[in-house]
Amino acid sequence: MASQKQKLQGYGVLDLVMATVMAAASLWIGIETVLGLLFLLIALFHFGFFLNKLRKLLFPASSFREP
Amino acid sequence: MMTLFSRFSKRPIQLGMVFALLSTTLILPPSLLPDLVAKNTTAQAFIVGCDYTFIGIGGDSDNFTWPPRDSDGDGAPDCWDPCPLDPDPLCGLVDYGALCKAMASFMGAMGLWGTRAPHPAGKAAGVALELSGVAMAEFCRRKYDG
Repeated sequence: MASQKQKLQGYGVLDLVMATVMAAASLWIGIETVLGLLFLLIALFHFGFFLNKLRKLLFPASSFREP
Repeated sequence: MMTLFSRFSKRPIQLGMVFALLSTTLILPPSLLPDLVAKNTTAQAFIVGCDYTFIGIGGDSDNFTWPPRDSDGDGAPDCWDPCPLDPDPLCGLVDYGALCKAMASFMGAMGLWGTRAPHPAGKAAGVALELSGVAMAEFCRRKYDG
């Protein structure tokens, strides 16, 4: 069984790859079109998910708790 | 309706697949309909959508001809000829290009949702659906944007 850290690494890479692919797709479709912007939004979501996993890997103890 | 929604909200992949199937179903008919023209039945004449095939339900019987007139000999009846996507029984009513792109973006969004699934198989299906959305977007661009 993969550990939590390995899962975060694997899925983080997947998110980064998908962010790149979707950003490339939005450029291919045309950034000035609605469809292109929608795919760019999906790419940004993937990039956000990647950053979140990176944060969890780099700072495992940190969390966003209510004050 | 709520039960259906809550069922699919727990299974985003299924919902994505349903929309993928729906989009295919909506896009295919225009390309399949020419075969129907050759068949001479009232029900199929209704599907064809020409005004003069509505005989019997208040149509103009004086203009009724069967098989439908095809003045320019392009294989499509005259009532379809003004359509940019010829033959299109819903000429002027449905923007297939916009519909196709909406479905493509929806597939992408459903794919993104699918990648949030905890199980690796769910993630893989989400990625596949997202890439299918990209492929469909390119298909829509080529087919409808010239």
